[in-house]
Parts: sequence; structure tokens; C-alpha cells
Amino acid sequence: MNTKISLSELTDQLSRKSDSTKKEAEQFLKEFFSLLSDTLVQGESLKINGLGQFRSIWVDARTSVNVHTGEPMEIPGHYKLSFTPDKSMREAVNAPFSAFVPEVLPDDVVLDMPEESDASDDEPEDEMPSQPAPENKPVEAPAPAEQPAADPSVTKLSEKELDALSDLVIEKLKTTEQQQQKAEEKTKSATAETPVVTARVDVSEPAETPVEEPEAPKEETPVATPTLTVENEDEDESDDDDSAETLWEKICRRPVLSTLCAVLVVLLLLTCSAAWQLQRQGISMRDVWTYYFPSEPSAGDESQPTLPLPENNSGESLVSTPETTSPADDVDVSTLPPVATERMGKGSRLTLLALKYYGHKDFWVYIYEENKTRISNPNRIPVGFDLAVPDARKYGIDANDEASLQKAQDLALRLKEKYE
Amino acid sequence: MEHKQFFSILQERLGKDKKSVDAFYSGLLQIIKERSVSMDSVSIQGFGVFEPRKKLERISVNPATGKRMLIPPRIILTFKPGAVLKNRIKENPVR
Repeated sequence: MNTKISLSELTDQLSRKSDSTKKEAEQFLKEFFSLLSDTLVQGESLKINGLGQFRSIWVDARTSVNVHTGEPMEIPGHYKLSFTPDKSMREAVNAPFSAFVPEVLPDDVVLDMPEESDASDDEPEDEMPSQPAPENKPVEAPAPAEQPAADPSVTKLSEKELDALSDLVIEKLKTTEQQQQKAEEKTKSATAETPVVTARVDVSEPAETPVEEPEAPKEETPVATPTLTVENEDEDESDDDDSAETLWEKICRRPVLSTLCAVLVVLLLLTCSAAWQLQRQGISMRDVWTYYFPSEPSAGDESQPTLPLPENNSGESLVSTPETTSPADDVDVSTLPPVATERMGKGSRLTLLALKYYGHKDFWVYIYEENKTRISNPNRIPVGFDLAVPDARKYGIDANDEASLQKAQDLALRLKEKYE
Repeated sequence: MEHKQFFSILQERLGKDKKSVDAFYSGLLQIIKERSVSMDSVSIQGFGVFEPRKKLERISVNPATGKRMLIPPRIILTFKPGAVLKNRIKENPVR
């Protein structure tokens, strides 16, 4: 299990297998692999029946980021070796999983896969599992079986098949396989909902969560504002439908009143969700106020001491005049307009922007700070987002000042804790 | 280079007939297979490591039809070239 054997062990085994001396086996292996690598080094592709195909592939030059300094760097183009196992080899290795076949998913199945950027999603519905209509579930086989039943008695059934494998993941898959079998046979009823085996595959997760009511019918919206669904929804649902029906009829009779009501409800919902979103990001209403009405003298929040700008602040062309700060400036400093807006593209990073504008990558926190009313998570900013880059004086940014740097790093640490 | 050519060169180098070389080769294949099935890897000094890897199931879209498929999990034999081989290949002149 997950052990490596080296050439000497390989030699031993080979000599036993082919009834020859160790010397011969070693000679064969040495020649075999040296010939193999010699051929490959010449840039030739090599196909060996039973093993697979070796090819050297050209990898184009690409830009990357130096992990330590955050500076972009170029990785020159080069060749790399690719290996594709032969069909017979592939099947032999994959034998334990050979029962699985690719499955076409129906279009209306929504799976809970991690999505790219959704920082601007402002509906509180994220909490609810986005589970499709339950009728489609059986099609999702093999992995997401309906009953997460993993009782050990069943596990023994096919132990023989999956004899050699005892790794955790395989164990897990074994149980899913059983679930599949079980679903087919329907021999054992889904008695108890035993907890699922440790590491489940992402996709299979939504299947076990209590099924959400399938697409709340529209009539219900005035009655049932988004609430978390309960497990035995099915029974309640019918009741709900009835009451909703009657209410709906009533509403239909008075169109003006009902539209008014609907508008009010929608407004209320919007405010709620906005407030909820803000609260989640740790932004108080006061911050919002100061954000939208910047002319108001904000007293508490952003009165960080301002530090004089150094002359040699790199890249800071727009805010050129380094001023000596006087107490009178303090009021203005917090409302200084952003020096620039940067559109986030693929591969843009706050740290890179900070490096560009302030001369040190650690100041990215202030760019985030400036935009935090609009981004929820500094690690996930959607592509195409327009970031406002704050004036360096606003947050007392000074790449040459230890204290300023230290402050930014502390802030970064706090943010890191918050979002990880 | 193809299988046949490779093995004829190998026979020359070893000074052995086809039969014995084939016997060795099938033995080697068998060992690699056995090891892979038990999730063990075979490492060859100066060449690289043959290692079975588990791949999670995933959803992929058929570009032709636009149908989404659930690709089942699988184990696949991977080969990771060793540092020596990798660097030698890297330094190949650009074709």
C-alpha cells in the first residue's frame, strides 16, 4: 500500500518471475530503461505495446508569479515528457473501478459544484442547498446514491472483488458501489440513515441533504418568505399549497392592493438581504453612510495617522506632491478621491496592484479596505471588477516606514483569519 | 519509434533472442500491473516513477453535443520522469 520499490527489488521480482538469474534480470532492466530514456531524450515519441506511449510535448513559455516577491516572472518554453498508458494497462490498473461508466446528466440537474467568482451574489439563499427536483436523482448514479447506508454487513458482500484495495478512498468508493447495488436490488430497505463514510466526493454531497422543496410555486411567495426547509417537507407542502391557493384567489380579486403588497414585500426582502449581506461582511450601517456621503466628516473610523509621503515612492506618479501633513489635512485625508481605478483581469492580484502603486505588496490590505463595501472576500474578486486604488495618504501608506508596513501586515493577518 | 524497432534494438544491445527479451518484458509488465493494482509504485533510478493515481469523479461537457457527463472516478497509471530524465528532455533543442 503506497510503497515504492526500487530497481533492486524490481530485479528480484523479475528474476523470480522469469526464472533467470538476477544478473540477467538486472541487465535487462538497465538496458531497457537506458534505451528508453536515450530514445526519449532524442525527442522521439515511443510507443511500447502493453505499457503505453511516451511523448515529449512542447510547453509554451508562460508568465507566473514569484511566490516570495510577488513579482511576475517568465517560465521559458521547454519540453516535458508525457506518458499515456496503453489500453490493456489502463484497464488492468483501473480494474477495481471498471464497474463505473460515464453517465449523461440531464440538463435540469444542478449540482453543487464550486463556482468561480460569485462575490456579488447578494441573496441569502446561499445557505440552502441548491438541490434540483428530486425526481431526477436516480439518474445521477453511480456516485450519489439515495440512501447513505454504509452498514458493515453490506460491505463484506463484495470484499472479494475489491480484494487488494484497502486505501481510504477506495473504501469510500466501495461503499458507493454498494449503494448503487443496493439501489438496484432494493433488497434491503433504507432503514437507518447511518452517517456517510468520511470523505465523500463533492458531487455526491447534495444528494444526502434533505431535499428542498422543488421550486416553490409562485403563489407562495407572499406567504412563505424564504425559510430553511425542514426534512418532512413533503407532508407540509400539500397543506401549504391549499392555503396558498385560497390566498392567491383572494389576491386575484383585488389586483391593485395585491400589486402594492407584492412591491412592498419585494422591497422588504431586498432591504433584508442587503442588510444581511452587509452584516456578513462586518460592515456597519455607519460605514455605508460614510461611503455614500463622503463629505460628512467621519470621525472615528478612518482617522489613521497620516504619514508624509516619501519623495521616491515608486510608481506614484499621479499623487506627486508630497505634502507635509498638518492637523488641518486630517479631515481631507479620509475623503481623498482614489488615485486610480483598476479593472481586475485574469491573474490580477491585489498584491501586484499594491506593489505598483505603493511600492510594497503588503499594502494590498488598503486597496481591499477601500473597496470592502463592494467585495466580500479579498481572495475572490470577480474578473472585470473595477477596483478603486486609494490615495496613499488616506491610509498612511509609506513603503519606507517600518511602522506603516507593520500595520498593514497586522491588518492582513486579521483579514486572513477572517477569511480562512 | 514503435514497439518493434525498440525491441530489435534492445535485442541487439542485450545480445539475446527475441523470446527471452519478451519473457523479461512481460514479467516487467506483470510486476508493474500488480504493483499498480495494490496502489504501489515502481521507482526506477535515473528514469522515473510509475505510480497509480486516483482521480476523482468529475463533470465534463461534451463540446460537440453540449451534454454534461459525469465521469466516474478511476485509477490511472502515471509516469513521473525523474530529475535526470526531465532535465535532459527539457534541454532538447527547439524543433
